[in-house]
Amino acid sequence: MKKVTTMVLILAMVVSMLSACGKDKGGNTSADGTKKVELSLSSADNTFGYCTDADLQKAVTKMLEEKTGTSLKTIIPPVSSYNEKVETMIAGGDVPDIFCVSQAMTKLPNYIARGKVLKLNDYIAKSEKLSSIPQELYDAISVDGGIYHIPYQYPKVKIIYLRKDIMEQYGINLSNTPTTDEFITEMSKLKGTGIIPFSFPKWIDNFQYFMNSFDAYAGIYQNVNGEYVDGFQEPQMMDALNYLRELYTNGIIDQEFITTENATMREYVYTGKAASALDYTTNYTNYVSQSKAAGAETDVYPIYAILGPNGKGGGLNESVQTAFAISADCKNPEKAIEVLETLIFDEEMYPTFFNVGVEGEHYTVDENGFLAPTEKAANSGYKPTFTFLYETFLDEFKVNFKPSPEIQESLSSQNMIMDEAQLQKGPKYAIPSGVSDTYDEVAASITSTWKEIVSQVVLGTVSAEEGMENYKDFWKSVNGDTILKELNDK
Amino acid sequence: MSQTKVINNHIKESKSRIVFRIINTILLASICLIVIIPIWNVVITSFAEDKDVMGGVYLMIPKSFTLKNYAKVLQSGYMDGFLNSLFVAVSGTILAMVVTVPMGFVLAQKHLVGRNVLMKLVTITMVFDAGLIPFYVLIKNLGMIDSYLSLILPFAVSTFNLIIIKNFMTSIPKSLIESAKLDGCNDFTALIRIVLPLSVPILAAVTLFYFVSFWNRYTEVVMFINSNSKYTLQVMLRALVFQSDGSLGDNNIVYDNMKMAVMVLGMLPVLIIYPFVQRYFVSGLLLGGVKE
Repeated sequence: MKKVTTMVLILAMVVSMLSACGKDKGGNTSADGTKKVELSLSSADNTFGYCTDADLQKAVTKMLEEKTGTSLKTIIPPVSSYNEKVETMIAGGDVPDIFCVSQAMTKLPNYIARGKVLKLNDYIAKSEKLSSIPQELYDAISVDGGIYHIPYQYPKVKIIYLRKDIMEQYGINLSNTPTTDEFITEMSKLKGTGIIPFSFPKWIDNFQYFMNSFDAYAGIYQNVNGEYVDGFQEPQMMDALNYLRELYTNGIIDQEFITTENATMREYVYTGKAASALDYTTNYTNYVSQSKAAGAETDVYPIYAILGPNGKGGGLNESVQTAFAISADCKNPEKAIEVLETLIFDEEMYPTFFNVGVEGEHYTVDENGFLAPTEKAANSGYKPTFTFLYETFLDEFKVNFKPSPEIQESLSSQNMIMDEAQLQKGPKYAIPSGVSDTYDEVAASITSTWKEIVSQVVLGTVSAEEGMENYKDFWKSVNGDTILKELNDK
Repeated sequence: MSQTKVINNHIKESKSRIVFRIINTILLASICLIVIIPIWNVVITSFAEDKDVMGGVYLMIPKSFTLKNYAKVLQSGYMDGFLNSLFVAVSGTILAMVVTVPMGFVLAQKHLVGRNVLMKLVTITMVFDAGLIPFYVLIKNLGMIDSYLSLILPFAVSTFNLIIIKNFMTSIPKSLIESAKLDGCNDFTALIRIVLPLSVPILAAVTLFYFVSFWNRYTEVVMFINSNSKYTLQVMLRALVFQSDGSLGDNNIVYDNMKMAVMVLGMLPVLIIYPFVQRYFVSGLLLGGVKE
């Protein structure tokens, strides 16, 4: 009987413990007693002050609520699982009122086709602030003129960073825009030195940087005549593939690139194990500071584009990678727009949300005017990066600290690099969803197939000619010509 | 035909036997090394300085020793996540055992009407899975989003564990239970007083199974929990490691030494528990596979 009583007690304890899993209770009325508008907001944990501590994230939310007069229910998944979480919520009919969309050029057209996101043209037209965002950033993912996203920063661009100490030591002489031949000739000087001339990550779509040199584009795009064509079957793609193969056989591209993570690629350059890498313009300061941390301090030299036989070339344009969208079911879109305006254009809110957090919570300002992370923030993955100073549409920020002299110096160089890279970026195209049913069905397999073929060609499993033939067979199998016809007949 | 000879009271092994033993030893030693080397690498990397792990270095010999990686992880809300995980794992395991054991006992009764149908209904869930989105919709409709209930209730019965317990209980002689009933026990008291004391090895093994599965749960936490203060240790540790995978172009760097410290701390609670239940674990698994 004693044991039975024990078990019943355990059961009761479990039930009471479970029932105690209560929800946060918070006031949702404003100071004057009126009910605040309730909205849900979802963004990954690399926002909300850029740290994982729930209390610090709440401090950022509180500031946003006070500025907008809203009551926000925030959903802040880890950045590594953000896409999966949002996809599941959307598929489960639980679309957050405001949410950040990463890989927006791929994902947003799908949400639009499924009627999950709100058309924002009228709201943008009414908003002076949102209308000031460059139109090209809206056009990048618009569908039949409909805009469904709000970008919050300039397009991300990748360029090549080359260690200056290695350039000097081995006499590598390259301009900021060398030709394809010059790149091979000069980088070949590193053969036999034990240094990887060019470290490259496993992301095959980054090869577009070199395809730009040949005016080649991997994927379907709209050419200058307004006609949709398949870039992978155009003759210039053959030249691009042969050039990539040449880079690999000459030992310029890391022979193990197919398994190299972004982080490893960077570490190779920080330590001097590799001479160069393809990376975001916003990571310039990182190369300077981390090479110092690795005991191999150097400056890095930007190569914005490699020019092909026809003088073509451009940085890797990732266009609108992340943007905000509003749910089609949002009950108060006007207020949601106001929240986004505050996030993107408020001089205090932008740096707080996207990077540095709240003064007194995430950081304090020392006697020299520099930012000093609080202990709580420092222990929660908080590392202010200051890149927000140059990525945004804002010119002024309301922050009470200044970057350290070293950061200020490298940020000034980074600023110039970012401006130049914006001018020299290559193309990026988006295909509207809902126009070609055939395309919508096979878009993912088109991308995975050309990526597979590019990797096979570079690694030498197949020749460029064989690769192109294999692609043509695949193209036929998915009724590729029907896709182009449907897109062109729209 | 035996090639083993006895010389001066010593057993002399044949050459083929010696060769077999040598090859066997080499093979087993190799397997041990395959298991031990990555763990060794994880442990020594977790104590290394940043500069010693940069550039994809695979450490086999310690180059430096620092506790700063552990200090950082322990100060990064580790304890909050740890307590959340402990709550989910302990309450989930208790509930799971409270539900699974009686169910196993009932299904072990051969005279149970509809036993085969019930077993098939249970077993079918091992084969078919509705997938994440229907699961999410179900949890949402049950009002369990952002509640620990979503991490505990759906996993209260593991078919695999249920079958192990049921098989074990089937092997307990029926005569023991009948004797207990003659002495005045009903089914429930027979379960408590006779069956459970005889089932300690299998109960220990299944408890560990449940505890580890609740402890390691990740996807469901991310999907069903919206409040960061309720995140479990595994989510927090993974967030710490993958805060920067570089894909978004940020420069918040987490080196391998920190990642390894996270891994060691993530495994630690289970590693601590394991030796205490290991003796039950092995015998429990063997017993679970035996039928009368």
